[in-house]
Amino acid sequence: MSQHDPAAFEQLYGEHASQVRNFLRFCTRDHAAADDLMQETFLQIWRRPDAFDPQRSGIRAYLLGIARKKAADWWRRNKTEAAQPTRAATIRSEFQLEFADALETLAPDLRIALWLREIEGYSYAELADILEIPLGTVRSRLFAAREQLRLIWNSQKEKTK
Amino acid sequence: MTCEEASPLVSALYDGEEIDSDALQHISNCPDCRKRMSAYELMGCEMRLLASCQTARTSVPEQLKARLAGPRFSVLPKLRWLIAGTVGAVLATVAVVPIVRAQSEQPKWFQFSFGTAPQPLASDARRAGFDEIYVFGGSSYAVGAHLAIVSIEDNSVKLSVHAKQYPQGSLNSSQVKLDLDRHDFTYVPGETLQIPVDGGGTLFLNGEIKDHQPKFAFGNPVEPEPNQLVLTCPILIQGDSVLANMDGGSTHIHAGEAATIGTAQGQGAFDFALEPFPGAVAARAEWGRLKFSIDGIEYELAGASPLTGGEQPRTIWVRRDASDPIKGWSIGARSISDLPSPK
Repeated sequence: MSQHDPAAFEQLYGEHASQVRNFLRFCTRDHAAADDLMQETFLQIWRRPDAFDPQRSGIRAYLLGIARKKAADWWRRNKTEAAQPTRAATIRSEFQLEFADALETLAPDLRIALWLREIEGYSYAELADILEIPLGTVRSRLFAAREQLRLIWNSQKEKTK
Repeated sequence: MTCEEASPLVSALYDGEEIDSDALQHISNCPDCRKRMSAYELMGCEMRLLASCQTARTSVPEQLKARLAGPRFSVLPKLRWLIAGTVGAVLATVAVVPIVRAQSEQPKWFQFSFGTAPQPLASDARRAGFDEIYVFGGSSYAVGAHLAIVSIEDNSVKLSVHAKQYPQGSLNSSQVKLDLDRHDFTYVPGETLQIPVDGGGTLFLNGEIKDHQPKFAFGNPVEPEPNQLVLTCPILIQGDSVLANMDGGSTHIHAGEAATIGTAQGQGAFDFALEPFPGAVAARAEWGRLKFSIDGIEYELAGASPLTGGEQPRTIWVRRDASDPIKGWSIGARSISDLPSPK
């Protein structure tokens, strides 16, 4: 990568693209936008490979950090437009559908933190680095995300009973 | 401890973070808190199921490949350039070198000067993978050059360069075409590489190979004479703001010339000279520091070596040209007589 080696880039892409895409889809709820932002994310590391500091974070965390910023920019640009949720095509049950709906009602900051913790498994320290927030805020943000999600999901389940 | 107090810590405990013993004891014995943690576990499980529904694709899409394969630094037009609008008036012996950060991690460094004159006026230190547009001023024409450092070996440097003459008038890096066919050159340190310019003229390149990042720029004196002004890796500060940080970039000038620093803060350009010139204010130089005030605003310039020789402190002259179209950190030199008139 540091020498703009296409083979190295291909390998990097192969190893991390699906996770970055899933994260961006989750962030934007827009598959087309997510694909565009994913390209921008990988282009950034292609163009500026030396901006990645392996002593500071892993490559996945670095890519997700870029993706998060690009998603945040996208949200700012598109905040006046009603985001049309686009769910995974293969949601398997009504139960999952309810959960996906509940998840989409969370504020982007909360959803992103929750995703990075639950799906990517980042520690609080890593999340602080990726999200560029203090450690204490990671803790409170995850708590807020979980509590809101729990209450919304419970409420939805009550309605459908 | 109450559930209300403990509830924020349920989330942390669920994540395996350490919590205080009182909270741990409460959560262990509280059915409501344990129920909350069970709910978190279920939500985590649902999230992972949801994530697993997403389709995976592992090869680089053609659209992205095309963007990678295009001009590798197609971002360049957004980067730094210098002396647009003034190029036609700048002497042929004066070069202004744009600076960007190195873009690769090769162990070796190439420290070089590149310009329309054999003697180094502005220099740079970069690693393999560096790829940049340069704009040089000529008395009757301008030269745009696209230079890439392909590789740095032990005793030679492979370069890819295309230089073209442009008509007199304004020229900036975005006007220099990136898709020109470049020519490969092998530079051997100790020699002066002469690169022919399409349309006439020659560019000169001198340099050295280093196995470490050079601390002082090639061709610039570490201890300047009284008739020299040297800006070695200078940093220009206004209050808490860094207007330019030329890490790796340097220039030096003599009487009759001005060193120019371009900023990234929309502040235009700052010109420094040993003698008074139109629009300039007196500044106090003391070894590596220069302090000055323009329009009531305090600035400070710090260099990595003494700025000038002679008895310290001494006066040098500074001008800020807010109308200069420079965008981005850059450093170079030009003749005082060819400095643009501030608008």
